[in-house]
Amino acid sequence: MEGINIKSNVGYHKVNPLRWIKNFSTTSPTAGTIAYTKDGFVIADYVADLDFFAEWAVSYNPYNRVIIRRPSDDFLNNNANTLFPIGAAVKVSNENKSNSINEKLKNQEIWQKNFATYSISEFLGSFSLQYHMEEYEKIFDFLMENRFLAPLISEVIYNIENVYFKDENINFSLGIQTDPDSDSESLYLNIRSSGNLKKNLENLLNFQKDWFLANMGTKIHLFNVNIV
Amino acid sequence: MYNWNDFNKISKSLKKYAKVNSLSSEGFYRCAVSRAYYSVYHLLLNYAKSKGYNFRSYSRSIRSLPSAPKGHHSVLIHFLVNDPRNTQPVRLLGIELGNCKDQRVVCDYMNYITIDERYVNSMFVHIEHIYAVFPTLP
Repeated sequence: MEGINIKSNVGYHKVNPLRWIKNFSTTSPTAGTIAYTKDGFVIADYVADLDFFAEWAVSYNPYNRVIIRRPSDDFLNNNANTLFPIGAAVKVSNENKSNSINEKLKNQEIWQKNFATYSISEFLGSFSLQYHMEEYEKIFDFLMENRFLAPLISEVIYNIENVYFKDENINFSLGIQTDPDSDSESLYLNIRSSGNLKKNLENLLNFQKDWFLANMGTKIHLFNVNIV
Repeated sequence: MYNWNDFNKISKSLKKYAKVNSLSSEGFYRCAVSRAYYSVYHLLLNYAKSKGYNFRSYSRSIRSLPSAPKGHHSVLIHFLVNDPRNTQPVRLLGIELGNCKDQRVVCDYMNYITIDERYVNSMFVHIEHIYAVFPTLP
């Protein structure tokens, strides 16, 4: 079996897909299948029982924990005809190669399934190995109520580290902010940087324009990213 | 009628006072952040009203959302970011107002976080950016 390229935050890695599938065996709560595009861009679903390939770009962080990045709508639209599933997903893939409304709906369905099954504790464990976290239990409870946020935070961190603040020395802090004015809570991800404030803002605004607005607009009251 | 933009000037004065009143400098820093926030809150609230925003009717329109936003500040931000009539610059200012709100809430309610000059400066960078973009809004 030929190797495939996995894009990570430290470069590209040649990986044997079968070995990968074995790594995500059914003994793991995060079992899943894997697929890849013609150009070697790796995608994988993160749930064992999906009958259709998913479009989660996967990379490894230095702790060998999986990071899932939700692809943009443009990515899904542009690559719908070039995504090749492996294993069980093959059977249904031929029926779904066209860039149809049904396929988009299916993608949304997969996304919803992943919201429901993503391991919150695994995500927080991975996060706390690298970054600062305030009040684990509060964050855990909040993410359990808003499960869609965990994979999005992974995506935010990936984008900020590798795209928008790639030249800066930064760290992250995750916490829950309680607003007594409205008796509500929201999750915050603060980017900690000692760099130039105006440059930081410029980077943050670019992130908000390119990614945050499209992905978090309607949920703006639940999650925000700021720089301090 | 009071001009809320005055709060922006006052916030800068409060930051100066912080340097000459070392015993209560953090208090001045906190007030500076809070006043700076309210200057842009009222600026964008008035803008939103000029575009037809009404707190009660907009709140009703989004109350079916899961964990719908509550309170005047969050609802205004939600309107700025999500109302389909708003252009991208307006939406982005809504997100930035959210950033400012979070910083203001820290200053007004959380005494276990130390507020220093850098924190104030990071707020002022947001405020200056909002004031710079605001005149270009449709």
